[in-house]
Amino acid sequence: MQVPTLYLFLLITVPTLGGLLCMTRRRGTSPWVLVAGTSMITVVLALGLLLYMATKGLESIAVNADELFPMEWAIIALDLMLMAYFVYVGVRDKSRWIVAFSFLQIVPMVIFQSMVMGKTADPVIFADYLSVVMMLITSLVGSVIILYAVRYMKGDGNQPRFFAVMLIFVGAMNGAVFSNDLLWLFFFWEVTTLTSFLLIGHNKTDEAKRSARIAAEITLGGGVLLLASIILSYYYFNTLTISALPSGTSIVGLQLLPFALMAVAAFTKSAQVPFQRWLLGAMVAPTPVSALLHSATMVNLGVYFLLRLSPNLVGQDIISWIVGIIGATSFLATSLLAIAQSNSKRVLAYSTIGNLGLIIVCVGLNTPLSITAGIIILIFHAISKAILFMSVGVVKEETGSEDLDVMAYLRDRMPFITVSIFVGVFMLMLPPFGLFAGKWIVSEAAAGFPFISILLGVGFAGTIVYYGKWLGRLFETGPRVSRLPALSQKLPVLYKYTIGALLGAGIVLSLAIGQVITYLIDPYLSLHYAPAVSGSSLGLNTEFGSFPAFYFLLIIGVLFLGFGFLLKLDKKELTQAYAGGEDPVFDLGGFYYLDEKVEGHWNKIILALASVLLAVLLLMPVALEVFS
Amino acid sequence: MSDLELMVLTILVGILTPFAIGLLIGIDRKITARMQNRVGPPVLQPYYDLIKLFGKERRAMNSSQTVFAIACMFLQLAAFVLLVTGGDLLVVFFVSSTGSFSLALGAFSAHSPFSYFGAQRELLQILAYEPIVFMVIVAIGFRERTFLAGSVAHDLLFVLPLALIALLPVLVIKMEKSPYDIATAHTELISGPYVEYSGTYLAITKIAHWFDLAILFGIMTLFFWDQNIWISIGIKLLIILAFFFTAIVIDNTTARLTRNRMVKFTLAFGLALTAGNMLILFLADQGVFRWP
Repeated sequence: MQVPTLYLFLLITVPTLGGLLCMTRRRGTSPWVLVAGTSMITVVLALGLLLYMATKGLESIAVNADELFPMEWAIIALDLMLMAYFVYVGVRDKSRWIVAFSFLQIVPMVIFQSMVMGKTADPVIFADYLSVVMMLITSLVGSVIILYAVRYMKGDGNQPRFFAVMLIFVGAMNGAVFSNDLLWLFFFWEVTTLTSFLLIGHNKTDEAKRSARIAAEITLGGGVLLLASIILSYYYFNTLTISALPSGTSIVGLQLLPFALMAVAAFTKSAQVPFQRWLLGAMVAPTPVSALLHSATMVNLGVYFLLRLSPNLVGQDIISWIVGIIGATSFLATSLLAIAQSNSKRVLAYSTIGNLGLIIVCVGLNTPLSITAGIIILIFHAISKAILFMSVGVVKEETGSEDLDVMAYLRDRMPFITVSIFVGVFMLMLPPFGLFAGKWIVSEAAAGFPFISILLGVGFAGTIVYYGKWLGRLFETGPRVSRLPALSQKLPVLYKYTIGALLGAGIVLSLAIGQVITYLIDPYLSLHYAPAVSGSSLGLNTEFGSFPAFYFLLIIGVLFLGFGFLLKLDKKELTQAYAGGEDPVFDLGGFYYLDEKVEGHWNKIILALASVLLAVLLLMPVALEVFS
Repeated sequence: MSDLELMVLTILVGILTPFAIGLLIGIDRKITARMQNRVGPPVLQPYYDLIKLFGKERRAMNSSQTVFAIACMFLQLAAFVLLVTGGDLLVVFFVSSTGSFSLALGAFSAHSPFSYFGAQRELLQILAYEPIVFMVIVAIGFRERTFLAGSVAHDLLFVLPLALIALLPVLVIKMEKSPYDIATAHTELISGPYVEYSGTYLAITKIAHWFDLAILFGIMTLFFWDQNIWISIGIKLLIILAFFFTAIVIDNTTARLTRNRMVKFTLAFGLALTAGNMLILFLADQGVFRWP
């Protein structure tokens, strides 16, 4: 095996093997040595691959099937086992849907495999910079989350199984990212469905079981669609290789159907409307699981797959349009629904769906500018979401609650966590940090599509409102000169280092946003598009405008670091709150613009609207076939 | 006009505008007083207030509050400088919006009921007006194929008149005027987000507010452009004054409305106008009818 092949192979197998080894440990023990070791090796491998590609100037790595000979047979066998397991799960949990969807996968799969047996889809493994970026997110952010979980899951009864599934999740995700054979992709895709099902149900409470079942039902349904699209694309294009799929306006009429089906499958994975329910239910899982699902793995797979397909859809205006509008609808709907939430994990879940919607808008716009924005959002969303979930997990551990109102006075009680939530939110939406660059670029790219701009504009404002409400609670505190002694005991070291590592990474990447675009995004873009954003030493330039990121980083840095330290209030400056002459002792909170009761009502409207959009997306190829 | 002249002019505009905003607020107070049969303060009163505030004893509840006030001012200042130097309008908008966000956070950081409600309503105001400003800027970019303020060089007034009108409710909200003085609501929330600031810190939030207004007026001035610099300046001033006086008249003839109606009305009105305007532009581009 050659060096690059070895890297790709190990990035899939090392986490998986580490996970399987964890299974050999007894229940009730902590497999932390194995977990830490596997995570470390994964991190080294991920960085090693990046360095190797950068130093050798490789644009992509392709691996043929004969180099990985036994793997092909293994995947077919494992695929069938996986589906048999889902049939068992469906029968056990009495879910008609799971059984039905499993059979809808297993039967066509067997027939289809027997038809294409022996036909190789070369290269079976293909890694360009888009795969590398996604692999880095999964391996690096995922490993940090798993290390964090070592501390978080300390009291858990079944740690070996938990960590096994977490590690296999990372391995499967890398597999899905590198797969160039649609059937391989399908296998790894379904493995992530399985692992997320197991993790969401980890607590074994009734609620956890129900949420896990819903998640499995929706994502398995997506799997059926993916399989259908694979069979259709073999029928139309006579290939199973992703990189050999046709592109541009040569795809006409019904040939667009496989692409439309792939898009809908991606929507189920990325929890876009109307499939958002499973991700909201998934928050019953332990916090590290939420962090992993939202930032490093699962939901990213859908948008990654769409980004991967977007060069094929250049020129397919109608399909792209509908995809963009579904993304923008997701973004707007979740930005408004999140305002009504009082639970921080639900706020974060809605925000995830919204940000993925934003990436899908980028795919829908399908210009070099928007694809750049999409990848930037993917990177920084992963980092900030991981920070936010991990911080909320620590708050939950200390206070026993995830409620926004419980977080009042957090600035005094948990200063480090307050800073990390503040920076996490800042990175997610405000200039000049990472994701803002994506937000700005997508706004520019959308300028030619006013309808999408309107949805985005209202969505951006909604984002400010729900995060403002949350941050406001953190900083609320009574009269005081300097920080009160922290109420909780010292923050566990592992928490501090894992969250700190991500904070550092986020800030460094924000500072180096120009380099991120030049060295990580442009090598991919230049394969299919012309690079559209140029980074200068002071900021970013596009065709339509410029963003002097560096100045703003300077301003923000001086403001919050400089003034935070320099500005010390004098004791005699201190004053009580004005309370109209009343006793200044009061309890604030519970002021929400939309009631959580409204959520159900709105959900129905969104469900109806999104279903119509999906139907339009799926019927459009038929219509194009008939009317062309 | 040479580059040097342009630079001098840019610097002059940058320095004079904030002062002019103070003057406008003074005029506003005078006119409002006359409308209510009072004599009213001198026109320069906002400056006197500001100077006096800097000399007052400083009072605050905690240091987060003050850091956020300062952040608000610097962010608005940065956005304003970017606008005057011809920077990207979207960046100007997002940075200025971060300033408003920062003001709300400052108000939240004080453990105080009035401040708390003020902050919540400030956020709601953001939800009401930001999409409009965003859409107006998108409309400009849609028409001009650039977001650089310095490269906008057409008579947008005649092409995008509806988008300009959509900024009126935004101005009313930003000037903290009736019917949309929701956050500050003097009679109800005792100036809302500002209530826990005093002395220098209050002065800082006031300066931030001046810059905030200056940015909005700045966007309005983009709607007119002429070869002749003096005509350009004259008409730009006229646009500002027209909007300003309309806002004052609205203030004195209406009572405060509820926050829900603010959001619904502003969003519906503003988005309908800007979207309608862009639709007209689009249809005109397609040759359906003629549009200047």
